[in-house]
Amino acid sequence: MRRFARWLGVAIQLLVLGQLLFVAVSQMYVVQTGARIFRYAGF
Amino acid sequence: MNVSEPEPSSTLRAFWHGASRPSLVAAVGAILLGLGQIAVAAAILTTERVARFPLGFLMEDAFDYYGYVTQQALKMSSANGAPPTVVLFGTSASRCALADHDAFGRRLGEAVGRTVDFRLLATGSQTLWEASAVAEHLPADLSGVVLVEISPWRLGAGPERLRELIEQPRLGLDSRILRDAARAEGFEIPEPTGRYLIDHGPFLVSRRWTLLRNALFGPPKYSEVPRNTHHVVDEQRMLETVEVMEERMAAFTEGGAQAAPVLRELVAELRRRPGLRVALFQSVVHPRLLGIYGDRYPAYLEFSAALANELDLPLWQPGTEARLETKDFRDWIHIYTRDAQDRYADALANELVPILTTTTSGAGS
Repeated sequence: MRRFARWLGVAIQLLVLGQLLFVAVSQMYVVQTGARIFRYAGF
Repeated sequence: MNVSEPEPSSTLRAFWHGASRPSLVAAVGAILLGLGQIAVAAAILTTERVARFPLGFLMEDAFDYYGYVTQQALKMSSANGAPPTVVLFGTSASRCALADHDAFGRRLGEAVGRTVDFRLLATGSQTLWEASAVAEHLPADLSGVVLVEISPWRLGAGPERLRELIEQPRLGLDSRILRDAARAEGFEIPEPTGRYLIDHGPFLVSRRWTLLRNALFGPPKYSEVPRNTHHVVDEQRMLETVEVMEERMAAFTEGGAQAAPVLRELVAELRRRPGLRVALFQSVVHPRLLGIYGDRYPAYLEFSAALANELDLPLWQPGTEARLETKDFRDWIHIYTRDAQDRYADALANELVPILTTTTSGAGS
């Protein structure tokens, strides 16, 4: 049971870090390309 | 995980150790998961799949017309056998001038005696390159009429505007015309791969939270007119922004009609569709601007008439026909009174119905 719990913990860590990496890479891409949703300012 | 470490004494502690201690398995797995998601997204998000997203899915809010028009174009490109269609390429000036788009489409349909699909594919400060990008997505068998708004600003847009579109694309659409223009200006533009994330990364990634939100809660409701269109700009603000209008006219008078070749390309692209007729129409112009522009506006009108003649296209002036007055405008560009919008719709419909009638009766172009 303890072994299963430990691997469950590792899996949770993997998922969280993986998502953070995904968000970080996409954020770096946004910063690098200056990507933004254009808003027409009008007047 | 360090194997020499003593076994945790409880299940909960074992879980906590696994979740909180640095682990090679978790580190490698996280890298594979993070980069794998990007790789999978790049592989599966083809242009065809993005076209199948529900309409509005790419919209950040009700007024995100760049996301809306992108999806309209992608959906139209894969739709065959559409009813007679009227497509309008233009700016927010045209969007505001035709406030009730559905009613306008119904009115055209009643006039010609069959269903007419009216697609207002206008976006804020839309350039002719962007209009061309949308035009390239119209299906080959589309029949009807395409209306193209022209103005000093649209015809005067030059390389600086093109650079902005390349560096920060507002639409997520491939365009041969835009690519060719960019290459002619010395930009290195790769050929599209068909993988939407690769071809339109900035457009899609800038909408990453929007996509997540729309997946969870559904797309926003589309608004026919932009935000704050009923708020009238005060005189102080009008005086502050008159420079913007001066710059727009200067783009034409000083830079020349730099975008005229783009208009020629756009018309040629549309003429590849035998069922389509094309007409140009002048953007609305605030009566006070006629005094500010002086001789420059008649010179522009003369040039645009010659250009329409060269392209063998009708050139309409619905704003003039609608007798727009100063009180009809909320700012220098946008009309907002219902009465003015009705007169504008009348003027446009009066020009459109005869040409639409010949098109829908099978005369073609």
